[in-house]
Amino acid sequence: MIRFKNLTKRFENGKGISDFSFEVEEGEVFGLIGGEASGKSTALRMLMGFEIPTRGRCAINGKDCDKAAVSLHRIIGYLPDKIALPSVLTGRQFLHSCAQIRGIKNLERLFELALKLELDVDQRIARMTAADVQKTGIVAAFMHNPQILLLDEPFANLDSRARGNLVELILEEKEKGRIILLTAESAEIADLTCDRVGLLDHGNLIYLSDIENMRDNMYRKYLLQFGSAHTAMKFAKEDFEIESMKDRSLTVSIQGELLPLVRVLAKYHITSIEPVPLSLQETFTHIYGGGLNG
Amino acid sequence: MVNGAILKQDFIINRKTLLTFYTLQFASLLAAAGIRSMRLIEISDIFWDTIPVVILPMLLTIFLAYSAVKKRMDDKTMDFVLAAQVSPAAVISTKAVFLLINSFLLMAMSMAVGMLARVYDLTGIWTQDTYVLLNLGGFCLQVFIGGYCFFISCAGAYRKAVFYWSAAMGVLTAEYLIYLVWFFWPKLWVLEYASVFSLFQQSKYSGGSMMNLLASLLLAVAGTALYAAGAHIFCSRSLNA
Repeated sequence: MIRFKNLTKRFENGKGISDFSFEVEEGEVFGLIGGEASGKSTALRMLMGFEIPTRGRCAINGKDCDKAAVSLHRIIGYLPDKIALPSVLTGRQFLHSCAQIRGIKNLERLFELALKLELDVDQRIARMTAADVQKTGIVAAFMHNPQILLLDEPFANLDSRARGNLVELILEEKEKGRIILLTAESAEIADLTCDRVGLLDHGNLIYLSDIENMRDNMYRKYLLQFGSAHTAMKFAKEDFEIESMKDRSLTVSIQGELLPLVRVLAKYHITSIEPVPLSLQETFTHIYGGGLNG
Repeated sequence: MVNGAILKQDFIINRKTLLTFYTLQFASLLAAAGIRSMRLIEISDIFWDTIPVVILPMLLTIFLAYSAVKKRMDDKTMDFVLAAQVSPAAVISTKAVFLLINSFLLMAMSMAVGMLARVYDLTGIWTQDTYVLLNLGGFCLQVFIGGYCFFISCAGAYRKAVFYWSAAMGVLTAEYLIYLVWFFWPKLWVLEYASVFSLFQQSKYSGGSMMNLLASLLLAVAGTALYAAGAHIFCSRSLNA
């Protein structure tokens, strides 16, 4: 179990996290959602023992993360955010050296993960796309079958196919009873895998809830394309909030369940449906009823 | 305290840099041997007592100290290494050993080649013993330079790369320029005390003076203290506070 108890970290520049208190249980996927410098990475780095708390404590399986950091690393898989990795190495060389440092001799799991994520480990990192570098980091974090996974922005740079593969991987780990704590910049990402979420704003945990609750309050926008402008006009008269409309395309916003929209759309000739990414400000406003500070 | 797998990772990452410096070092000694056989006294020294003893090992150390700590922090390899059940003290000691091993190997290789080619005996002032002494002093100087760069690399781990390059490359180049000014215009005697390179002074090793080696040993002690200070800063985890 992961436990944060009044955990506070203040940096000289005023950033950090304030008074974190929550727990993550076995078999649970927990998502910390927040923007740049909201304290997501700091929370994970403190669990890794990379930062010393200013006040309070965090513990994994009852062991203090600051004092027992090195022994806890045996059961933790950690993916830092914004990874670049040494450009002169191939993915295989990097992962092999990580395995050697961990003392892993059997590399079967490593290659199994690379296959699952569709990663060509023989590419030079300098020539890899940002998505492949991210996948290399994910393999390095998962390769020793850790009981606890701390993933900082794991979905960053991944396309929808790779995201799907990672969601599958995370859910497989969840089924095995692993504890997964991940960070994301949008609620939609957290919605893919998380059981519970916490919203972070400037180091403060302002909202903590299970995913169903969040979904009820979640606000989404979709860009719909109809077969003709006439059909679009007809749909506009339905009981939905229309954000904008142009020719045969319109943007509709919906709060909570998607089902009513899907039911109505079934009656129309639709050519495409695309989700419109929301700003964090919009997400926060609709989920917890307040905006971001500052 | 030294982790073999981390050491191996650093060697693999830096293999091209190492190969380049070994080639340059070897080329400098070849040039010295050529000059010796052509009896070009005026330009002989620089190719065996300056470039392979001071300049190239210094540049290698500057690059490796950056690559082993600061660059690995930036590309997050350090986070993966620290997450792999290795203590920060073991990680950073391994990085320090990596730097020292490379300084030593580069200088030992060039000394062996220099002795075989007898690059030093053009004027008859130098002997094999004084040449060995010169290289020992040179290694002490590199321990200081390595310690300084390592300290800057650890202290500036969360700063921008420009901090490292101005503090390491900038300061050391300025120090060497001060030494050169003093060397060519000895009347500016005050400059002798403004540069670490004056403590080393390769030309004075020709007399076999142990005093010079003592001054270089002083540099090595200061360098070791800087290595320890860098490691302490790294382990204190207050780098980005």
